[in-house]
Amino acid sequence: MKCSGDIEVREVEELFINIDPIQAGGRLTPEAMKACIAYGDGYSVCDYCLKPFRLDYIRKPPIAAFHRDLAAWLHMDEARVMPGARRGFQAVASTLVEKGDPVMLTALSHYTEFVAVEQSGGIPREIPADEHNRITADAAAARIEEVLREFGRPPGLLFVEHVDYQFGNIHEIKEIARVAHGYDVPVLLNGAYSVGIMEVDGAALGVDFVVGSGHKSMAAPAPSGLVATTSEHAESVFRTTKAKGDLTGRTFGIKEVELMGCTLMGVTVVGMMASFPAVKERVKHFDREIAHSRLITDALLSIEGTEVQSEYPRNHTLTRIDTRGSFDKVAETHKKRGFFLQSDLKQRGITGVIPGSTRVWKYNTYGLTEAQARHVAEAFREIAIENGLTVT
Amino acid sequence: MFLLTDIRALLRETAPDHLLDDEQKQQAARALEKAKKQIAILEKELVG
Repeated sequence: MKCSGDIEVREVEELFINIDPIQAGGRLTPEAMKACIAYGDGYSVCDYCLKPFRLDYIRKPPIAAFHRDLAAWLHMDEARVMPGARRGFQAVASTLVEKGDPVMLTALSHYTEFVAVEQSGGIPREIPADEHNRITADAAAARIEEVLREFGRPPGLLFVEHVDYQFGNIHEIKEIARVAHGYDVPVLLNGAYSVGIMEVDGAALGVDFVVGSGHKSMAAPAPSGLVATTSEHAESVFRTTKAKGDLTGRTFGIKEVELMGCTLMGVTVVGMMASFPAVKERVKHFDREIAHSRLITDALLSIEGTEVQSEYPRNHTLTRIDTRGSFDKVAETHKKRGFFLQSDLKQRGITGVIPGSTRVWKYNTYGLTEAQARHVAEAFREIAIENGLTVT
Repeated sequence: MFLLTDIRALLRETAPDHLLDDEQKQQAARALEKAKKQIAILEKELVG
């Protein structure tokens, strides 16, 4: 079946268990799917856009209330929806970072954080990860001290991942924020793998900004995301335009500069909103997700030669596994070479592992049912046994 | 379309084997029954 022309219907999620590392948390809820059907037209949320003509003031559908709910949910003062977490990084960096300012990132930062710093003219400096691939407050303090010596001033901003994309490790945010604030450095929490997945309390963590991804972790269409902040920073990051046309004298109301006016004007924001009740509920059951993650990781670790590179036992659903000592040994002589694993998984109704990967790869178990988690765990063991590996 | 979306959600929950438990079967049956009624209304109103 085709949507149109050469665009085939996507049925990956209906036919397979999908453990793709970036897709798990963005799968739509049925409510979001229905919202997408109803609000697919371009400016669909603008039917009742009245003065002062800004997205976060629209009351029907209840986008204004959604903004308030988002901020309250994250224990921050104000929130705005954004076209992805990356646009959140961009808005904050563009506001706080001046050309030539040092900016603290980490050895596990996403490239979009670096690009946001680059756009604003900042100079990236990284906090190293420790031997367990964790970012610590001690390392942050040491690096800030180095920046002070190098630049004669502290970093203009510190980005830190709540959960990093490389290992799915959870980092000591509260302690890092305390250290950064000791140098008056504002802290941006990259919650792309946590907001919408697990409970996030920005106030308790002591961060200045919480950035989340709708399409990665809030069961929303792409591109969607959010920035939440404190009253102190909201004034600058959400500042309104002062632009004026020199010939026409036109001004542009209360459009926010960093948001380029309105951000998500249709299916993206309504999708986020429709999933929000389910998302608020699901973060309360993260322990169930951890149980599934551990079940599958332990199944992999029962295959001799397999090692986990993420922190262990697992505290998140995104995991980096090293199968150079197991599945990659099989690939050396298998007629399908490195593609055998993906092929064998597909035969068992599982997808999401990059074709050809048998060395170091990632998977994400978020959102699987108990039966699906067991199916995946058993599939890995079966494939190992069928290919002559030892399973304990 | 919303009713078919509910069916779609069931397919996702039960992938890859789609072995529905009793409750899921009841949910599917209810959604399909309602969908049939809606199609009958559309047939009557649009086709005559």
